[in-house]
Amino acid sequence: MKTDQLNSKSHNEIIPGKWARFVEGFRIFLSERLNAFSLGLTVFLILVAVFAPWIAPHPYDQVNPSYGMQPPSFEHLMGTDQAGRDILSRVLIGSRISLSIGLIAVIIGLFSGVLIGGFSGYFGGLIDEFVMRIVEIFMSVPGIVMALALVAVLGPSLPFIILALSIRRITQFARITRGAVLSVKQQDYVMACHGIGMSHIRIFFIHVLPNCAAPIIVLSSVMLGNVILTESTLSFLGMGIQEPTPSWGTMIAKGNEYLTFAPWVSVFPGLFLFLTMLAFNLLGDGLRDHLDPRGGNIV
Amino acid sequence: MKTSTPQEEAPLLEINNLKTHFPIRSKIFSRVTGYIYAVDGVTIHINKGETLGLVGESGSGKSTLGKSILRLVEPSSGEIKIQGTDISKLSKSRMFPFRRNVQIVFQDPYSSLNPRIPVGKIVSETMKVHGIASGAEAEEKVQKLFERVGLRASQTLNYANEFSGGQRQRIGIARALALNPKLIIADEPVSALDVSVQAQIINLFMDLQEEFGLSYLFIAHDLAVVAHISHRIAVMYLGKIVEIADKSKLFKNPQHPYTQALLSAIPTPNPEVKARSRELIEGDIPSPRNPPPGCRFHSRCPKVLDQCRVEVPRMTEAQPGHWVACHLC
Repeated sequence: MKTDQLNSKSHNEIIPGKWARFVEGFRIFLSERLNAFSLGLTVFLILVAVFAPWIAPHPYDQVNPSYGMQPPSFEHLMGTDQAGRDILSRVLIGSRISLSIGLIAVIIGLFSGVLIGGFSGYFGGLIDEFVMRIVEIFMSVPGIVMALALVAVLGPSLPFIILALSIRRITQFARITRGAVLSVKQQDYVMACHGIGMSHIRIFFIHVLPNCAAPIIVLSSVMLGNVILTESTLSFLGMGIQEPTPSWGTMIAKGNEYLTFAPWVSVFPGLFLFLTMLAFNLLGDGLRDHLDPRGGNIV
Repeated sequence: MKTSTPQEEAPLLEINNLKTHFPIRSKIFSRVTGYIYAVDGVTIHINKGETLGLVGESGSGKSTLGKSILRLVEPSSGEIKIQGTDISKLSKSRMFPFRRNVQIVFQDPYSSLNPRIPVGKIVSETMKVHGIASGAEAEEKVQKLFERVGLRASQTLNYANEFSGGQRQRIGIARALALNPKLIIADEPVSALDVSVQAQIINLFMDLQEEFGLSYLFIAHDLAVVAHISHRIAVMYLGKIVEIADKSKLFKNPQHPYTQALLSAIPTPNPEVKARSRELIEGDIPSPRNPPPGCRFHSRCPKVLDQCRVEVPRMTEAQPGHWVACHLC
């Protein structure tokens, strides 16, 4: 008895609570410089989106034809577009639209996908076969084609755009969750729960799902960037957010025509789109490395 | 099947002709193309306060047998009687009260505890689910249990990854004890541990047996480990029990050629003593998908007869309380 007590790690004496463990894990995560950068950039972009109406120097829809196509100046830091609207203000307001569409689509995809994929994997059998075939049918159609088709049929209004973007997320989350559940449900601690006679609901939500968190968190971060890009693509193709509501995709598309003599119209929304994608993808990569169980870190 | 002393009351656990066959499905249409005969007609019983050791090499189906008793793996046919009631076909809810009586300790201490829940809570949840205790009362009980199995009461708040293998196995034992079971199925509980820790855990099992009057089905692939803790020993080969006897009888006078080979494989700790004549058996255990006809052991048996290849040997009582399934005996 003595020996295996001595074997245990010395920090057994301090009893770390959930919060302390989280802070410790977070500190390790930030010690990687790239992680600190991507998290900082993400937070910055979110803050910008939240406070956009107060930061924006001009109303985003103030048309002033006589000041059209102005290059960047102190008055208009990113210049103006063909209608004389301030591009900086439109980019800032546009980040709100992009981020909120991204968030809502990912949240819808996350909840439905995790439940569908989770139950499917947990119960297995015929239900699992059936659900996964449907998911595969959806996945066989390229995401942008499906989104385009849906928006074309339903019309390019905000709820339908979000719906079109979230359907694909549902299938992606369902697959990832199912895979994780399949491996977790084989673990002896889940066997032990069955041996004790716990209900399936209890086993699923308390013992199985929390142990599948790592891949789901990573996917959420990557998907957030992905949805924003798809939304921009839709808008670029004219099937997304409609004028005068600013969207990065629409702004890039409009500026496309003047790229040779007024590049600022397209470049600045493009730059923000690029930064957003960079932040979320780097964050996702960092989280994946951090949450890899072989690294020994805890969420 | 009864052994030496006739029992007045029904044995704690009685298994009659238990079979667990896993279907093998073809990839395309999920047609059943065959079965894996993991457990193929096992009849054993365990009395109150008794330890039945179950040995056999990997692939013999001993773990599947243990899991089938708890219905963690659904048995295909046969009876599992706990104090006289057959639980093999009960629904999940009718089965629930019986779960209190039989608990399991797993082989791998690293995968048997949920890494996201403090270990004390893992144990107290068990009590809560069965309505034994909750809140502060459960916490107190868990702390007492922890001290009983050789951990500190303060360690209930730690997570599984902060413990060593031996400590985790103690927590697994505490979880099993939380329901005050009558029978614990110990599925190779010490195979994953260091030798020094093995001895501690086995001694803990024995102390607990004395204190709570527990019965064990103690599964292991190592006869030396089983020898220390068991009262009776059953030897399993390819889904069937080939020999079952009191420990001393089995060691002194093994009847089945497979048991003899297993016994001769136990290393002698004294280098001065000349090794007993070794009866080595060759080859690997055949696939349980396609077990040999007749006696399952005939493909590797050094004393094989023509009869063995055709006829399945029946369990016979070679001596009082010493049952063996072999044409030679």
